[in-house]
Amino acid sequence: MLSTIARIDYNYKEKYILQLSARDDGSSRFGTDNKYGFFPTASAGWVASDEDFLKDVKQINFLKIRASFGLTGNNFFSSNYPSLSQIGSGTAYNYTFNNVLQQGEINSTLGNSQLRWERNKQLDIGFDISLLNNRINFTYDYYHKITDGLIQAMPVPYNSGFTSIVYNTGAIKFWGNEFTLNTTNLTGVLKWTSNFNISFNRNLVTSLVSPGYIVRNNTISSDYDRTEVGHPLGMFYGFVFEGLYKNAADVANSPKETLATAAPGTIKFKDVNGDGVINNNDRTFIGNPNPKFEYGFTNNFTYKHFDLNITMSGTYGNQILNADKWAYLTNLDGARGGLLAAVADRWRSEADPGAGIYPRTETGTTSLGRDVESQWVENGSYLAVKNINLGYTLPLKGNTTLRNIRVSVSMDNILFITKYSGLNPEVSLNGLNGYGEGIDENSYPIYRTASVGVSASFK
Amino acid sequence: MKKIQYIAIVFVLMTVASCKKAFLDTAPPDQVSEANFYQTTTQFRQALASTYVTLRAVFNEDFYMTEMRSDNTDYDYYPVNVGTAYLARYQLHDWNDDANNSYLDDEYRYFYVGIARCNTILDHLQDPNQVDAADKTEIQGETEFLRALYYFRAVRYFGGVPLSLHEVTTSSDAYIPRASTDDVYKQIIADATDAIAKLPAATFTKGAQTGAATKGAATMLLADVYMTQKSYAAAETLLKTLSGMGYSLLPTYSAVFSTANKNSVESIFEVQYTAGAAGGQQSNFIYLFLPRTTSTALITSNVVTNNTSTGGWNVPTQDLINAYEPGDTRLDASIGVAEGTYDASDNMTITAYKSIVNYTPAAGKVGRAFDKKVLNPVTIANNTDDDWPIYRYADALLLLAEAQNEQGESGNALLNLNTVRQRAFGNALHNITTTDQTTLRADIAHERRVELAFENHRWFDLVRTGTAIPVMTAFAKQIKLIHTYLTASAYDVEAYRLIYPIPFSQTSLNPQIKENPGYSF
Repeated sequence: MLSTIARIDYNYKEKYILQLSARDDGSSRFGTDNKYGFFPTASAGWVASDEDFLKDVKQINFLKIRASFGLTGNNFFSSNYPSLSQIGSGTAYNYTFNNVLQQGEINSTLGNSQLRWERNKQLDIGFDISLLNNRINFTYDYYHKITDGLIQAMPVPYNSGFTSIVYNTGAIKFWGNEFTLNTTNLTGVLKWTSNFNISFNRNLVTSLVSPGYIVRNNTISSDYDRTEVGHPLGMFYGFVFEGLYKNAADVANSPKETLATAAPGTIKFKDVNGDGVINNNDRTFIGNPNPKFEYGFTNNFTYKHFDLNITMSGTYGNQILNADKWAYLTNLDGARGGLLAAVADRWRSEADPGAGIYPRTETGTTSLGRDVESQWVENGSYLAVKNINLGYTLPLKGNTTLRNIRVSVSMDNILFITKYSGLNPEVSLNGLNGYGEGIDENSYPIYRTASVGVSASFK
Repeated sequence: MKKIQYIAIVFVLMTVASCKKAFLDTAPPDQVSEANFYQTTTQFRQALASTYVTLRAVFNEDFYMTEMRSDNTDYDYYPVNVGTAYLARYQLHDWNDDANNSYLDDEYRYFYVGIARCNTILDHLQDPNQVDAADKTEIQGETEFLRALYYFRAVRYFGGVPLSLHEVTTSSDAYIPRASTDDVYKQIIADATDAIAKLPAATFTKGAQTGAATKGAATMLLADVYMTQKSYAAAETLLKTLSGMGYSLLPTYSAVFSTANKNSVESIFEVQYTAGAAGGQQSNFIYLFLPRTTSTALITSNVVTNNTSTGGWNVPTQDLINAYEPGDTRLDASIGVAEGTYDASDNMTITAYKSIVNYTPAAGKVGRAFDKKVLNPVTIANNTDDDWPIYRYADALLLLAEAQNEQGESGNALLNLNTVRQRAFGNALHNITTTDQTTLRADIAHERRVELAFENHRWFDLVRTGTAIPVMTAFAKQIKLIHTYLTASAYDVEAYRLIYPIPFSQTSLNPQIKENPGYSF
């Protein structure tokens, strides 16, 4: 890493604030021709409440309007030198010539000599306002960010000799509105303050390298999501479930999968492209893991020596792909361990189709049970009471050694209100990086924790 | 005018290094990367060894697409688990595979792992390095041989495949369309021809070669290519040169497959494996081919291996067993019988290891034939020493006989054909005498089937000689009577299925790659 940095700060009467900076960064992590990136930023703030025309408005204690714009670079990614092909060695590279071992070493990764900085172009506009003796504090932010030269491991055709390359794959636009409200509701013996925040985040993939989408996996049974130009990140992708074939007439008159034998009681998918057969090309976008909004709500109460804190959070409008349930716990194609009790209600005959979603078990008909389909997508909205903490501070007047003692009980994950049938609506396969978000595959269940604490501070 | 009360300007300018170009361009000295490799002969030999390694990946799964696709072998149906990994292999045998087939995907990828390694070596050999001229010639010859071998299999499985001939250094290099079948063959012929010129003939130290590619191996490969293209005269010329390189038949057929005779005078090229506790270099074919059982001990030198999750493949068909003539020693040398009883999970409890010759099951028992060419003494579970033959001299003699018969030289053809038969029967009493071209053509094809059973030639021979459709149509008729579990889509014996579908992963990743006709996606 080699950087040249310049910065100017300007502050007039703490009322007008301006900051300009620029940096030229070189990183050895990138390809030969693209090691350097130039990243200027500018930000400005105006404390309007200090202006004469607002000074006399008693209700407004503080008002600041701010904006910033800048370019930043990212060179943090999993491996150190993805621009260079690494040489692999070990047992899997060794060969024997007439039983004589010959050490082997050869390229083990596909380097990318053109790898360059991932750049973020970001605009922020917002204001902070405090009203009524600072009892109401409100913050609003709007952001608009374009990430281009997105660095990620991208599948590459096998004729390269490899399956993936670290690559600047495309550009994504992120934008959103964030609101935070802090209020002091009661100030008497019973004190009550609360914090409410809500954010509306959106993203859209604006460009991607050929062929314009990135699949999660080459096999259709694990190809849960697809990132494609014109869509948000990590959209769920698969077949559209249309129930089970009702009877022989339904089988005869409906499009069928080419391999698994279609019979009354087997899974029926929608013929999305209308060509009369069901195959890979009949997959489509079946769900969105991105919430319409996310929120958090925290309340603090104190009454005499007691204090109580309640933290809640949730999301709305996001979906979860419950692969756990459908690929493992209800799939009748090959034993994967325990089945859900509900599967007992599977299709048994035309007269007894059961719940109408679990297919029959006849050999040669069940492999479709592994294919990702719309039934796997569930509503992921939830409201969670994340934590309640109740404390009591012992009054210690005149004690010479102790300042105070606080006894508390705390409980995590008390309540989840959700329609999601899996173990954890907060699931995310690969963290919140946008890929594999909202996919429930072997996730850990939520654990509820109760704890009791005593804290003492000494003089 | 307002008085400026407070101004603060902070201006920081950090160092500008004068040598910044070199500072960031240095390859990391603590890691081996391409930038500091490919300098010495040792490094090139290491890279070359890793290029041979890919042969193991290819041939560990190759029989599913060759022997099992043909009328030679079948699989043990396993109703307990019809998961996708099983289904993919069933489909290759049942002629209803599609572009999602994971075994096709694997094989296609392995070819290119091998080809890409060849390309990397060939490109770097041209750069300034410390390799002397003699080593350079030999390394180049071996690499070209391997590239030709990988492409020759790829083109026969998938048709015209993308022709990558240089190391891929940017992603766009990999996004290329398919080449025509002719262009792939041109490249194979160019590589094999140059390999013949550059490689030394095999040397036999105590009767064994090193197992590396030789002039003989490249000659045989090119002859095989010419036979596939029906260039019989060119093939004949090449095949005739082999006897002058020291190759000959071993005295008995069974000796060919003994691990005591690896890389023998009969071997032209084989994939090398070595058993050992250290692991990583061994083969395990016999365990894939035996019936699924919790103990293979009665057959495998009293060493217990549980192959219930790996066994049951490449099972000799009755059609193949019937193809052996009475008195042919190759039947007993090629096929053994595991006798026992099947449990409710379709796993076998093996109670005896029997000979196939005049076999009838004991009362209450069933016999399950298996390929015993890969059965040799073992000492470690699931760890065998057997090499996998690609080309051997008997194959060369039969190809030569075929080339000669196709050109009307039946006398010479009979000579070569009967050399192989005399070893098989131990006498000249079974020699073939017909000079009728059509009859002799069928005799040679039959001879290749039994001589080279389980060596992954049958499928290519059927396709090459234009007999795949009639032979497999007849075979399908028989097998549908025996196997009640076959689905309606099984045995779609149509001409388009003489090449496999390009894996879906590739057509979806690179829209320039078009699927083979007949396959729906």
